Amino acid sequence: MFKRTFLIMMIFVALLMLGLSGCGAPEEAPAPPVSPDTEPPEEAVAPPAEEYPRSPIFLIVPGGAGGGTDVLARVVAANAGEHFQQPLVVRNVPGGEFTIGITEALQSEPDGYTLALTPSDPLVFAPHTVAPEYDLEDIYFFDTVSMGAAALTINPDLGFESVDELLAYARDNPNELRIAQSNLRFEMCIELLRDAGYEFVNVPFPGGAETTAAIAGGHVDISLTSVAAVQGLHDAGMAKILMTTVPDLVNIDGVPTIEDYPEMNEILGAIIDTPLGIIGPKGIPEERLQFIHEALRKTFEEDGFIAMANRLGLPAFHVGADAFEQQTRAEYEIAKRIIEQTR
Amino acid sequence: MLEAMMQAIPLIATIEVLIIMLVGIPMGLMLGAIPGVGGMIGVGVLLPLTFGMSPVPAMVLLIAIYKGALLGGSFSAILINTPGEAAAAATCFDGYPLSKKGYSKKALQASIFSSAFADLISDIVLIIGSFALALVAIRFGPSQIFWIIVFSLLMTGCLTGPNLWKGLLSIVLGLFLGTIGLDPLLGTPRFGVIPVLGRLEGLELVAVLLGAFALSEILLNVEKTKKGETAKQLEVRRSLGPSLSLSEIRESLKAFFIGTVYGTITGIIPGIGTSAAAFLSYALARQAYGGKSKGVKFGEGAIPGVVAPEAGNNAVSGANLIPLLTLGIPGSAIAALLLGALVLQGITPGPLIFINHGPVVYAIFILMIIANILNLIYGHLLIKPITKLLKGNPSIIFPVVVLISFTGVYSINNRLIDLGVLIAVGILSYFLRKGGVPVAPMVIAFILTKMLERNFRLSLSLSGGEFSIFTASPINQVLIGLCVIGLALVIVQRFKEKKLLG
Repeated sequence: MFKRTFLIMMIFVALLMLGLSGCGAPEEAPAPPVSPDTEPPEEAVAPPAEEYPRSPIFLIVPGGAGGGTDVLARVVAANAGEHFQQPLVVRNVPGGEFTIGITEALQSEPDGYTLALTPSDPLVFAPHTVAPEYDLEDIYFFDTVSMGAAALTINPDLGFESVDELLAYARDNPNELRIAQSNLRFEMCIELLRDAGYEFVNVPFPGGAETTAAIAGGHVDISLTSVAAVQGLHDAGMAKILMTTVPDLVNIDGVPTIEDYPEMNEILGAIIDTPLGIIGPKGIPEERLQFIHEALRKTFEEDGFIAMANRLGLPAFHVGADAFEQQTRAEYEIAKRIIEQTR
Repeated sequence: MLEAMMQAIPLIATIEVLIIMLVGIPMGLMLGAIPGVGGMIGVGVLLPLTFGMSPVPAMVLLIAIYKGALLGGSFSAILINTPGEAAAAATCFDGYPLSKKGYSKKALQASIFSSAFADLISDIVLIIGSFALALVAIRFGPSQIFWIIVFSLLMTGCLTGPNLWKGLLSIVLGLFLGTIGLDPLLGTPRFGVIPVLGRLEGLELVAVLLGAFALSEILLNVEKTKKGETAKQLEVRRSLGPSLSLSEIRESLKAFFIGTVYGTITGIIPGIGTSAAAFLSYALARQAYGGKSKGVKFGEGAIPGVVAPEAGNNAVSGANLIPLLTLGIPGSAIAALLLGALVLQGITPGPLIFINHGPVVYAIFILMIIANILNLIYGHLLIKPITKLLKGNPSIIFPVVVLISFTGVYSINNRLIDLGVLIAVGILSYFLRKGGVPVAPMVIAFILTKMLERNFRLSLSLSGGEFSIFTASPINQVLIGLCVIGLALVIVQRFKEKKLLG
C-alpha cells in the first residue's frame, strides 16, 4: 500500500519536474499582462493551412536565468502567447559565452518551433574566439527586440566632468586609467580606443554585478556596463555616468550621449550598442516565417510589452530583419579585424 | 524608518499577500527538496506570473519560494544523502549519518531551527544596517576576495580526514575539475580533450554535488543492500527517533553562531555564494569543536555538524539582498532574478531606494521575517511525512532518486553533457570513497578554484602585474593574519587528533 502511494507520488514529482524544465511546460503558459493600461486582446487570427503552430514554441535564451536577456525573453514570451496562439516557452541553455544555446537553436529542426532571443554577441564575437559550430550563414534573422544602451561611468573622485576631459587625460597618461567591463563587446571598445591613441588598462570582470561593485567600491577608475547596472549609483552620486549611448531610447537628465562627442561616436559608434534580437535556423517554411513575423510584430505593439521593456531599461526597438542582419554582419567584420590584430 | 514601516503595513495586510505566503513557502520547500531543482528554477518559472502583480505580492512570492527552497534542500540531504539544493551539500556530512542511526527527527529539527533563526538574524542585519554594510562590502575587491578564498581553502584542510595524503589527493582532484571549461578571464576553451567540456563555463555545480554525494552513496548502498538488511536494521533506519534535547541545543549554539556570522558576511560580499558559505561554516565549526561534539565525531552524526552549514547557507539569503537593494548588485544568480523582478516593477535598486520606495522595501523586509516563521512551522509539519516518504524501501527509493536527480540536473541548463558530468563524478567518487578518500575536500576545492583563479588574475590586471596589491590594503593585511592563524589552528588540530587516534 505504502509502496504504491510512494511510487505514484514520485512519478508525479518527476512529471512536475519535466514540466518545470520546459519540456512542454503548461506552467510557463504566459499570464496575460494585467497592467491597467493594457487593451483587451484582439481576436485571434485563423491559423495558416497546415495548422502551425500546433504545440508550444521554444524561445532559447543562451544565458542563465536572471540575466538581462533572460528577463527580456520572459517579457516577450508573456506577451506573445496570444499572437502565436501557443505559449512561448523560455528555455535557458547557458554556457560557452552564449554559443551552446545558439548552436542548439541553429541546429534544431527548422520547423518554426525553436527560436532564440539573443544579444548579437555570440553571433559576431564568438566565431573568432571559441570556434562554435555555426556561422552567420546559418542564421535567419527575424527582428531586433531592443537595443542595449551602454554607460561609460567613472569614479566621481577622478573629477572629470566630460568625456573630452577623460580622453585628454588618457592620451597624456597611457595605461593608467583602469576600465572594468564584463563582455567581449566592451573589450572591443577598449581595443578600438587603444587604436585611436587612448590607452586604458582592461580589467575583465566575470559579470555585470562584479563590474558594478568594482566601480562602486573604487577598485577601478572607469566602467563600461549597461545603463541599468549603474543608474541607481549615478542617481545617488556614488558613480558618475559620463556618457550613454542609443540617444533615441535612453536618456538620463544632465548626461550627454555619444552623439555629443563626435570623436567617440566615430571610434565606438558602430559597435558599442548591443542589439538584442530573435533568430532562428535557416530553412523554416515561408508561410511559417510570415506567421512568426506577423505574431512578433503584434507582440511588439502590445502596450504591456512596451511598458515592461521600458522598465527593464531595454526599451522596445525594432529595425526589421534586413537591418538587423546588416548590422550583425558589420559588427562581425569589426570584431574579426580587431581579434586578428590582437591575437 | 519607523514612518516608512507604518506605511508598509497596509501593503502587507492584504488577502493576496497572505495567500501567497501560505502557498509560496510550502511550494519552495517542495522544490528545494527535489534533487537538482532549487529555488532558482522555481523563481524563474514564476517570474512571468509576477508581471501582473503589484510590487509587494510579486516580490513576496519569489522570496517565499527562495526561502522555502533553501530549507527544503536540506531534507533530502539529511534523509537520503542527496542535496536538494547545491547549498545543502554540506548538510549531508553529519545529517545523513544521524538519520542512518535512526535520529532523523533530531537532524531535521536541527536543520529547521538553525535555518529559520539564522535567516531571521540575517534579515534583521539587513533591515538595520543595509546601506552602511553595503558600503563596507564593496571595499572587498578582487584582492580581498582572493584572500577570503585562500582562507576557505586552508580551512578545508581540516576536512581531509585521518589520512593527510588521501585528503590532499581529493583537494588536487577538485582543483583539476575546477579548471575545466572556458578561461574565466579570456573566455578561451581549456582542456579540449572533450571539446564540449572545454567550451562550458565550467562543470555544473549541482551535477558535481549530486554525483559526489548522492550517486556515489547509492552505488555504495547497492553493494550493501545486496547482502540484505535485517528487520531490526530497517526499523532503526526508518524510525524518526527522539526530538532534540535541551542540552543538544545548548551544545549547538556555538555552531549556530559561527554559521550565522560567516553566512551573513559571505552574503553581503557579492560573488562568494551559498555553497561556499555552508562548507566553510561546517569546516569552521568542526575546528571550533575540536572535531567532535558530545563524544560524536564530526562526519559521524554530530548535531553541530548539521547546525553550522544550515545556519551558514540560510544566513546568506537575507544578507544577499543587502548589495542587491542598496547598490543594485546581485550577489548570486537567484538575487539577479530578484533584481529583474524588482526592476520590472518599476523599482530601481540603488542607494536611494529607501527614499524613493521606502514603504515597499520595508513591506518586503517584514514579510521576509514572517516567511522565516512560516518556514519554521511548515518545516515541522513536514518532518513526519517526508521521513516516511524518503525512508521507504531502498529498492524503490534509489532508482527514483536517480531518475529525479537526472531530470533535475538536466532541467538546470537543458544540456545532456551535465548528465555525463553527474555520472562521471558519481563513479569517480564511488571509487574514491571505497578507497577511503574523502570527497568533501574535492567538492570544496572545485567550488573555490574558479573564484580563486579569477580573483587572483583580476587583482594582477588591476595592479598592472604588481604583486603588492595583495598586501597593500589594511583589509588584506587582516585577512592574511586570519589565514596564518587558520593554518596554525588546522596544524595543531591535526596533531591533537593524531594523538587521540594513536
